[in-house]
Amino acid sequence: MDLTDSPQLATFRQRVRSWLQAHQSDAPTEKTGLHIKDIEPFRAWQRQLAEAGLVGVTWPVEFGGQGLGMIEQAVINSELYRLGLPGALDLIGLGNLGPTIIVHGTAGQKERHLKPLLTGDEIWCQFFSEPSAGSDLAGIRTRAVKTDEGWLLNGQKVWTTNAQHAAFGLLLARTDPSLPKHQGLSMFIVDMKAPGVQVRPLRQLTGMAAFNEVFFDNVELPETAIVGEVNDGWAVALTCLMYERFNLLTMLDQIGWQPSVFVQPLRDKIKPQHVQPLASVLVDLLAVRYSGHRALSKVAHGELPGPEAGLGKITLVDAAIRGAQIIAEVDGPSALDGQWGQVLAEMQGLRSGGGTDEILLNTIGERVLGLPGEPRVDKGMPFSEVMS
Amino acid sequence: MNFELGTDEIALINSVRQALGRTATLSAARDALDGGQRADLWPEAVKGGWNDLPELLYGALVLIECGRVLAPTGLLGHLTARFAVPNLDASKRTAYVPLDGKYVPDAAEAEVLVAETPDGGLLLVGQAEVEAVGNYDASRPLGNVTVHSGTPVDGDARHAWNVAQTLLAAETLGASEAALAMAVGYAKQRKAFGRAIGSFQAIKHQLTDGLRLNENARSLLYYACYAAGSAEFELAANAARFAADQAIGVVTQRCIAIHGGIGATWEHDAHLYFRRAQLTRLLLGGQAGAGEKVVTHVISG
Ligand SMILES: Cc1cc2nc3c(=O)[nH]c(=O)nc-3n(C[C@H](O)[C@H](O)[C@H](O)COP(=O)(O)OP(=O)(O)OC[C@H]3O[C@@H](n4cnc5c(N)ncnc54)[C@H](O)[C@@H]3O)c2cc1C
Repeated sequence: MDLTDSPQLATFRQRVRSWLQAHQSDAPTEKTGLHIKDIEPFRAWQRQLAEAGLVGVTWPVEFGGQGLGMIEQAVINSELYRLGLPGALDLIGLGNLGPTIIVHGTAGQKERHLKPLLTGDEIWCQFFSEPSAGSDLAGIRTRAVKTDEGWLLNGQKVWTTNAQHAAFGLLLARTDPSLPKHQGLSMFIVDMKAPGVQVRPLRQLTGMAAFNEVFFDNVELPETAIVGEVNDGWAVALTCLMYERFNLLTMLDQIGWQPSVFVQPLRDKIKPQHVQPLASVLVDLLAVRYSGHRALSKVAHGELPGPEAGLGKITLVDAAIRGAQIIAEVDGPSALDGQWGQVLAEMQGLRSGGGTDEILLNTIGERVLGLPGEPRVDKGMPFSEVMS
Repeated sequence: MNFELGTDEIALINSVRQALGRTATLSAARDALDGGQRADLWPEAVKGGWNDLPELLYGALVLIECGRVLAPTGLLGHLTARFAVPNLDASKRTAYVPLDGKYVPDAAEAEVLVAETPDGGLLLVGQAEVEAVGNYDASRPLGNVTVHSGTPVDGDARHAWNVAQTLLAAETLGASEAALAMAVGYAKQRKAFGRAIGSFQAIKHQLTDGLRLNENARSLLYYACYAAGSAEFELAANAARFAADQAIGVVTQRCIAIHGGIGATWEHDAHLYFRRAQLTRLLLGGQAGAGEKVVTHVISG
């Protein structure tokens, strides 16, 4: 077991650290969270990071990346965390959507979109979930119908993070309802300025609005908007979800919190009854970090990270909630009016975002433990019949 | 960065598995509950050279395998003493005796005892009384030790304690992984209402949660082995210990329940692992003691 950097990685880390130290005064001062009030300073910061080669490092060089691995991304994340600096603004675009376009997009799409995505000049959002389909993503109903010029889009997406800032979205739509549900889907790039796109913010339980509902009313998409083949959108969606998992992995070391974050407010105040519950929180947070190191080591040895990264999310969310509750017990109700009330609220949503606990447990139970799946009543049925 | 097992380590694991597989440790554990002879695999350990391993990680990997089949090898006590006092004669069966001297793993079978002293040092025990105690988990030999005399040896009792926590965590993890594998195997094969019971989410989610707990414990065990020479060792070792006890506590109960009626029988192996879980969490300061150390370390760190 060895967590020391290889000579190359140490050089890389040093370069990242020096750059960040030299430029940290340019970073936005607003605290990052799931909601950002003024994005412009964050956009400018992403541009600066991009120019220094510190975002999209896993992207191939020809698309503006550095052709490096997840380890390097994890190093950047941990160096940012060390200095208390925010990372890139558009994590979903850089982590999930850009890489998906690199795999499935046309030369023209890559040429047009990747550069401004990297620099933050154009923010992206992920149009997957709908009012009637979230966990069961292949059950989406938003329709794209072929026209002479391209496609005509009608429907609704929901819980779309960053849609209020986005220039483009990657959207999964149904192109053939006569096929079984996974087979009649296609992926599109949607220009948020196109007539018929309407974004409405949704206020979250935190009190703020970081996600939205988005309506598509006869939105005309050009022929060139499709990503991948017609009716092959499910494969594109799976690529995107795979990158979402990778993205999570590079953050496991520090998205949560170092154990000290939960202990700091309790110093000198802790009572005997809090010791064991707090121990359990600290142990879980440490476990998430070292599980992350294990997964990244696998990747460094050329293995693909499995769905297990999702287990880290379950542990993390659960530990953070219990940690915040202990602090609230010690500090009394006033803790809920401040930061810890906010943490408690944010964690509730995070439990569903990126796959609910139940879905993660299903997937991992089936893929990793090899347990049998459940009977699926809609298997093989044309989607039009499922809907009726 | 390298935080996964390499080919050397996997080769060691396979050889340990193979060697332990030659003894029916589980039926011996059950018979010993009724007063039969407990298996003793110390000779196997010597044959494999596991009594004289160069690194804590190797010790942990061997103990995972011992725990998996509930094999009494004497290695928990022996390797703790060995890593705490490196210049001991590794060929002599040794055990480590913490200050309270109660329910000490492997003490009754050892030729040599290394005991903690009240001032935080270690003693090579000359004269002592050792009385075998307890038979709740018959695969786990324990002794009460009263030390009468000894000579001080180089070594730090705190380090020894942390090594013991790490190795106990390893052995516990192995047992927990075995209990999970047993439950998963049954869930794939047993049918009810026309389906394998593992396809029911109430079962599937319990098992996957068990995987989560085991993997957390494994990650922390690697952390403890990695941190062995550093100031973080205390945090890492106690965190690993806490996580392993937490995992096995949950997994072994679910393992019995997932087996239904057969899981509640004497003949089934599930209760052997359940016994291991219930007893282990009380040994060497207990899970709660490890929890306290984790909190104290982070608060003062
Ligand atoms: C903060 C936040 C940000 C988000 N950002 C985005 C975004 O940017 N883009 C986007 O497309 N989506 C986004 N989402 C949506 C998210 O992906 C979905 O909420 C999630 O996939 C769950 O879908 P759902 O909301 O439709 O719930 P449902 O799928 O209806 O689930 C409701 C409940 O039923 C359970 N359930 C469903 N199916 C099963 C099953 N087979 N077995 C057991 N239980 C089941 C679920 O676990 C859950 O408890 C975001 C969500 C949140 C909370």
